[in-house]
Amino acid sequence: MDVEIIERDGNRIRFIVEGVSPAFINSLRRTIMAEVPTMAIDEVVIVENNSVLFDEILAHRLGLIPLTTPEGKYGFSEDCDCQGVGCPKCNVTFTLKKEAGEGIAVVYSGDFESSDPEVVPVSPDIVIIRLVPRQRIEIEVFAKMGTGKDHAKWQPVTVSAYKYCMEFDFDSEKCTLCEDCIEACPKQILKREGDEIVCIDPLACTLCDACAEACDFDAIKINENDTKFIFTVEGLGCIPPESIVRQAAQILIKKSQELEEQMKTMSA
Amino acid sequence: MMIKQLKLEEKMIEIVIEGEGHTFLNILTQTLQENPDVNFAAYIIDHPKISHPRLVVSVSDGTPFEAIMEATKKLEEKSQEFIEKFTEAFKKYKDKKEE
Repeated sequence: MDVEIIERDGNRIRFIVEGVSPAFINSLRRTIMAEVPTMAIDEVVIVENNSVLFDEILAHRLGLIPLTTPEGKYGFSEDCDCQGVGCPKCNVTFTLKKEAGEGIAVVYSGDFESSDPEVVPVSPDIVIIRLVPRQRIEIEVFAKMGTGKDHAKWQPVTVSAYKYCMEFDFDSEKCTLCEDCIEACPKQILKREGDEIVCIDPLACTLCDACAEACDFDAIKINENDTKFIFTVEGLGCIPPESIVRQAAQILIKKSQELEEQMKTMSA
Repeated sequence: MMIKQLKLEEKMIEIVIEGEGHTFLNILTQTLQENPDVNFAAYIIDHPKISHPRLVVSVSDGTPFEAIMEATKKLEEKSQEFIEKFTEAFKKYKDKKEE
């Protein structure tokens, strides 16, 4: 197995994994989306809301605000000592009180006051609601850990995807150097070098096969390598993307160990 | 993860793994199939919303428990190797960027 990081920028990471099966990489992808836990608002107490938005729409909007999640600090409330009731060990409380005076007031995610400074909205500029004069909201919300399996608001990523790496197969004996393939390529990554056509950026290839179809002499073949993958993860900012990937692999390990344990007791 | 045993013969087992889905079962059956002693390994989820995956493993040599334990161990090692390689690659990338 070989891993190489191509890009790490903002909330995005791109890396190449070589020497694994499609099943493994797909499990990793699914685990990242559905099983890596994050914090999200789950319970809302509305003290007052005379704005134009109904309580349930407001609650739904609040749930979708991504929250920063310190690694290992909080666990699932079902596994907590409080047995899912909700306590400071597994829940974070936010309060928000805002009233429009004479003008229009905009309520932002940054207006929340958190009980834990490590768990705050990823961006303070998310608009929750606009209030006109004499409208007012007062709410108390509880955030807890959850997984994307239960609701998309707990998903730590927006993008978790992989694609096969491309292998460019060029036959110089069949090629007539008509350069039709170079024009056909939508990514413009083919180039003529002397008597050969070369691919200057194999990672950008989308495996669309347009170059092979444009060639009347079968000089070009695009093969996909199903043991080498380009993996892209784009986080929401709750957890750094490299940490998401690591946590996902750890979840797979935990599951394997759990099943192994169970098999041991069953066979005994 | 809760496991219910539906059928157990000397060389065959049928179990229900509650709380899991395609994410874990797909890689598990694939790892099982890599073992030459395993004749048959597959799972089915009857209904995507209300059913739990049902796993059937049949072996020609040893017991099905041994085959499953071997597969989980293999999967564990693979994931561990991935974490190590990934952490190493990330460190390398970071060092290179700082230069």
